[in-house]
Amino acid sequence: MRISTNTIYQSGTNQLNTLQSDLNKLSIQTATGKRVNSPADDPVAAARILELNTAKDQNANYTNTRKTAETLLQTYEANLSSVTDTIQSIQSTLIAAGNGAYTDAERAKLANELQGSLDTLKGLANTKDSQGNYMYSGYASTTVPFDANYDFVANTNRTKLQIDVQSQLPVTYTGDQVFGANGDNVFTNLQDIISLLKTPITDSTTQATFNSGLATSIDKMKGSLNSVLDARSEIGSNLNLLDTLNSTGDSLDLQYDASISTLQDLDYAQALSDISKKTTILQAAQKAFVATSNISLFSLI
Amino acid sequence: MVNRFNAVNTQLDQMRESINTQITASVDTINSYSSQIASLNDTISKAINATGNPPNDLMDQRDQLVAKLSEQVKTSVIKQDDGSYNVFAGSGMPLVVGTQQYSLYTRASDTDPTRVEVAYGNAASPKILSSDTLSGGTLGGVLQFRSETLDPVQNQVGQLALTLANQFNAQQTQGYDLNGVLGTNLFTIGNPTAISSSYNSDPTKAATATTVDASLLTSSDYTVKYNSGQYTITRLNDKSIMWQGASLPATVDGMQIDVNTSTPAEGDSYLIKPTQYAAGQLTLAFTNVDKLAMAGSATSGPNDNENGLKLAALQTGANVRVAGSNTNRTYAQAFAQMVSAVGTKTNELSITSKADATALENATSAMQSESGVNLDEEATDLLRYQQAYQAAGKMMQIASQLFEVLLQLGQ
Repeated sequence: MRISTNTIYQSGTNQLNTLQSDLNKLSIQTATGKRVNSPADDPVAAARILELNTAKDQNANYTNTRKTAETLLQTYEANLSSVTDTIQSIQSTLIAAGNGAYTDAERAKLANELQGSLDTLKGLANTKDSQGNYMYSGYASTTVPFDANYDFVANTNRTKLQIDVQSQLPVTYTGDQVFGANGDNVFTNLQDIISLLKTPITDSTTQATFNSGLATSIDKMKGSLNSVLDARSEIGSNLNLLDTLNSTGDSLDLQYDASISTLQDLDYAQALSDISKKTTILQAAQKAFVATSNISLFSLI
Repeated sequence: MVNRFNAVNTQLDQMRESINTQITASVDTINSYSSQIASLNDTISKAINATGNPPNDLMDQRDQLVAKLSEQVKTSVIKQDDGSYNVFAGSGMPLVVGTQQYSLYTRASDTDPTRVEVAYGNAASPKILSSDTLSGGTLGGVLQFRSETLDPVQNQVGQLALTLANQFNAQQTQGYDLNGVLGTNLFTIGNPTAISSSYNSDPTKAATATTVDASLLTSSDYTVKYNSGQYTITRLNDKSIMWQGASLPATVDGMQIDVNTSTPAEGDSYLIKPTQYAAGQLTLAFTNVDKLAMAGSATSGPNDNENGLKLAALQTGANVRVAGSNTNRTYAQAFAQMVSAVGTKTNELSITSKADATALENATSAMQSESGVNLDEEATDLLRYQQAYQAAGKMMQIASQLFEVLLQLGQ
C-alpha cells in the first residue's frame, strides 16, 4: 500500500500518544496505590467498594454502640453487687433478730442497724451514673426514682440500644423491676420490720405478731434478693452476648478490609513490570519514529 | 450531608451551563462553515463554467471545510453535476444546498429556560433538533451526553435527596424531642416542579405535584396531557402510561398530581420534574440537636430513644426505588448502582472511542494512500524529470552541433 509522508508522521504520533497515555494511567495507579481510581476503571468493582465501605462503617457504628452498652451494664453490675451485699447483711441481722433471748433494747439496736441499711439501699437505688442520669428511672432519667415515701415515681420503660443489624438490647434496669412493686418493695418491707423491732414485746400476742412479722420479712427479703440476682444474671449473659458480637464484628471488619483491598489495591509487582515494559516500548517507538521520519531522498540529492 | 448534596448538584448545574456554552459555540461554528461552503460552491461552479478546469485550490479548501464541519456534527455530502456540494448534517438535515445556506440557531427550551436547544426554521415555529437528528461530532456528543447521562444522573441524585429527606421527616414528625415537643421537619425540601406548556390555553394555571410516598418515587420526569376529554399521565423514562382518567387528582409513583383548572383545553400539557432540582433545594430546617425527635412519647423522659431507633433503621431499610425496576434498595445501594452505571457508560465510551479512533486512522490512511504526497516519491520523480530534461537538453546540443557541421560542409 502506498504510504504518504503525512501518514508516516500521523501514525507515528498516534502510537506515541497511545503509549504515553497508557504510561500516564499506570503512573497514576502507582502513585495512589489503587487499581480503581475512577468508576470507569472497573464499574462493578467501584460499586462493590462503595457497598463494602458502607458496611464497614455500619459495623464500626455497632461496635461503638456495644461499647456504650457494655459500660452501662458494668455500671449496673457494680451497683447491684453493692445492693446484694447490703441485702445479705440485712438478712443476717434478721436471722439474729429471731433470738428469743433479746430484750426490747437489743431489738431496738437491731432496728437502728436496719435503718442504716435502709438508707444505704435507698442511696444505691437513687444513684446516678457517670453521665448524671438516674440509673433506675427508665426513660425519665432526670427524675429521682424513689421518693420520700419509698414509692417508685419514675418511668418503667427500659431503654434499648441497636447492638447489631437485627438486635436491640435493653441496657437499663428500672426501680420497680429490681426493688419491687410500689407498696410491696424491699424498702416498705424493711420499714415494716424496723417498726416491728421497735415495738416492745409485752405479751404472747405481741410475741406472736413479732414472730409472724419476722418470718414474713425474711421471706420477702429472700424474694428481693432473687430479683437482684436475676438482674445480675441477665447482665452476665448480655455481657457474654456483647462479647460474642464483638468478636464477630472484629472478624467482619477484617473480612471487609480484605475484600476492599482485593478489589481496589494495585498489584505493585504487576504494575511496575508493566511500567517497565511500556517504557521500553515507548523508547523503541520513539527511536523507530526518528529513524523512519528522518530519512528523505532530499537530503541525499 | 446536605452540603454534599448541594455541592454535587451545583457541579451538575455547572456542567449544564458549560454544555449550553458548547452547544452555542458549536452551532456558531457550524453556521460559519456552512456559509463558507455555500459561497465556495458558488465560486467553484462559476470557475468551472468559465474555464472548464477544476479550481483545485478552492476545491481543497472546500474539502477542508467539510472535514472540519464533520468534527462538529456528522456530515454527509452529495456532489452535484455543476461541481457544488450539497451538505447534510446528522440524519439528513440540509445545511447547504447549492449556494443556499440553512442556519441552525439556539434557543431556550420552553420547559426550562436554563436549557439551550438547537433549532432551525422559522423562529415563530421552530423545529427543535434532538440528539437523534444531530448525531455525531462534538454537537451530537454533547447533546447525547446531556440527555443520556447528565439528565438521568441529576434526577437520580435528586431522587436520593428527596426520598431520604421525606422519609426522615416522616419518622421525625412521629416522635418527640428533648423538650417533649412533637418533632418538626429536619430537612426542608421542595415539592416536585411542575411546568405548564406555553401553548396551554392558560399557561398561568399551574399543575401541582406533592410527594405522598417517597419510597415509590422514581428518577423519571412525567407529562400530563389533556386530549379528547381525558387526562393521560405518562412516565418519560420508559414511556409507559401511568394513569388515564377524566379528572384529576391522581396518585402516580408516590406523587399526587393535580391541575389548577376545571376547564382544561384540548392539547393542554404539563411537564412534571420531581427530582431534577431536589438536591440543590435540600436544606436543614434546624441545627439544634435537642430538636431531634428521639423519644416515642412526649412525657416519658430523656432516656426514651424509641423513635431514634426507628430513625436509625431508615439506613438499613429498602427505601429507594431503583431506576428501571419495581424493586427498592437502601440509600447506599441506590447510590452505588448510580456510580456503577456512570462508570460502565464511561468505560463503554472509552472502548468505543478507541475503536472509532482506529477506524478514523484507517480511513485517513486509505485517503492519504490515494491522494497524499510521499516526499520520496516526489524526489524520485524530480530526479527523473531532471534527467529527462538534461537528456533533452543534450539532444538539443547535439542537434545544434550537427546543424553547425552541416552548415560548415556547405561552405
